Amino acid sequence: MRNFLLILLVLGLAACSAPLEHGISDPFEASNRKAHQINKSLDKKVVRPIAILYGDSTPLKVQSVVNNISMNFSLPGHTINHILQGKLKSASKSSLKFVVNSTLGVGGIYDASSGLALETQKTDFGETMARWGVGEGPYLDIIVLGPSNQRDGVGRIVDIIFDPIGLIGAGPKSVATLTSIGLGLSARSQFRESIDSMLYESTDSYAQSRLFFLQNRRYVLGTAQAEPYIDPYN
Amino acid sequence: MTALNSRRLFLTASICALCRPEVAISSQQDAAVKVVDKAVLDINQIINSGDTERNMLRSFEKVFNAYADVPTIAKYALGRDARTASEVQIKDYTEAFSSYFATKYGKRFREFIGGRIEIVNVEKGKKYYMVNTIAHMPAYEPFDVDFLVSDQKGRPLIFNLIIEGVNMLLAERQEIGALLDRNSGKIDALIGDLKSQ
Repeated sequence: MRNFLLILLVLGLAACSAPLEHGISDPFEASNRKAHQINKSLDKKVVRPIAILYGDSTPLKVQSVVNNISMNFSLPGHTINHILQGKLKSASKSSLKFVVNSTLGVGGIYDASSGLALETQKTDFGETMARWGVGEGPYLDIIVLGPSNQRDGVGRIVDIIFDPIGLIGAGPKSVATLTSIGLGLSARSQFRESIDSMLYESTDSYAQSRLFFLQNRRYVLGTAQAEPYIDPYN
Repeated sequence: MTALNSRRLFLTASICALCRPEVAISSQQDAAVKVVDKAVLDINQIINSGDTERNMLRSFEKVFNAYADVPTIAKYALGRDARTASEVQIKDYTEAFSSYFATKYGKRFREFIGGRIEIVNVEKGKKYYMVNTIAHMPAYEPFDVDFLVSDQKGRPLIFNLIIEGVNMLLAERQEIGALLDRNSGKIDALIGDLKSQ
C-alpha cells in the first residue's frame, strides 16, 4: 500500500500539463518494432489458433456469458478508478452494478442491472492518470500487452497488480483471470478479419497498429487534440 | 400527407434519438442522414442474409460504389503523390484502389454478422455532416461508428468512416504511403502491387 501511495505521489508530481495529445512520439521505435514482431509471432503461433478454436467451437451464448462474467469482475477496478478521478456518481453506479449483477445476476452471468440506468464508461488507471494531467508520453509496444504508451503502460501494470478482485478472494480472482482470457480470445476470434488485416495484410503492421492504438485511446479518453475530421476535398 | 412529408417523418423517426421534434432539419442534413440510412439498411441486410463470403463481398462493393466517394478516398490516401501523377495513372490507381478498398472494408463489415448498426445522431461540421451510429454485436459491448458525409460532388456521399476514433482516411494514407515506399515511390509499381492484393 505504501508503494501504491508513492506511485500516486510521483505521478501526481509528474502531472504538469493538460494531456491534449496529437501526433506520434516514438523515440523507442527500434525496440518497439522488435516487441511488435515478437507479439505478432506470439499471435500467429499461439493466440490466434487458440482463439479461432475457442470462437468456432463455443456457442455465442456461452461466449457471451463468459464475457459478461469477465466484465462484471472488472467493475470493482472501475469503481476504484472512478473514485480516484473524483467521479463519485460513476463510482456509486459501478459499485452498485457489481453488487446487483453478482447477486441477482448470479456472479455476472446475467446483466440483472440492465434496466437500472447503472451504465458507466469503463475506465482504468491510465485514464485516472490522464485526468490528473499526466501526458501520454512516448508510444510503447510492450511484449504480451501490445500497443500502449508510457502512461497507459504504467496504468495497465498498476491495474493488474492492484485489482481489488484479489481482495475478495482467490476463487473470484481465478474466475476473473480465466474469464478475461475468454473475453480476449472471443474478441480475437470475432474481429479476426480486422485484426488479421492490420497485422498480416497491411504493408507496415507496426505503423498501422500504432496509429490505431493512439487514435482509439485518445478518442476513449477524450484527449484528441487534432481535428480528426479531415477534409479530403481541399 | 404528401410523399415528401411522409418520407421526412420516416427519416425523423429513424433518427429520433437525435432531434427534438421542434428542431427543423435542413434538407442537406436530411440528405446526409438518408445516404447513411440507406447504406446502413443495405449493410444490415447483407450481414444478415446468410450469403456466402464471396457474394457478400460483391454486395458490399455495390454499396460502397453507390454511397461512398471512393475516388476521393483513393486520392486522399495517395497524398502528395496524387499531384505529380498523370491522369492515366490516377485513373488506373483509383480503379485498383476501389477493388482493394471494397474487399478490405467488405471483410470488416462482414464481422458484424448477427449484429446491427443503428443511427443515433447527426452533427453538422464545417463542410460535412457526421452521422453517428452504434454497432451492436451479440456478445460484445456496442461501439461507435461515425459516417462522414459531404455533398461536394453534387450529391451526398460518404467520404470517411471513424470506428471508435480510428479514422479510415488516416489509416489508408498510412497504408498507401507504406506501399508506395515499398515500391520506391513508383506509382505504376504501386498500382501493380494493389492489383495483386
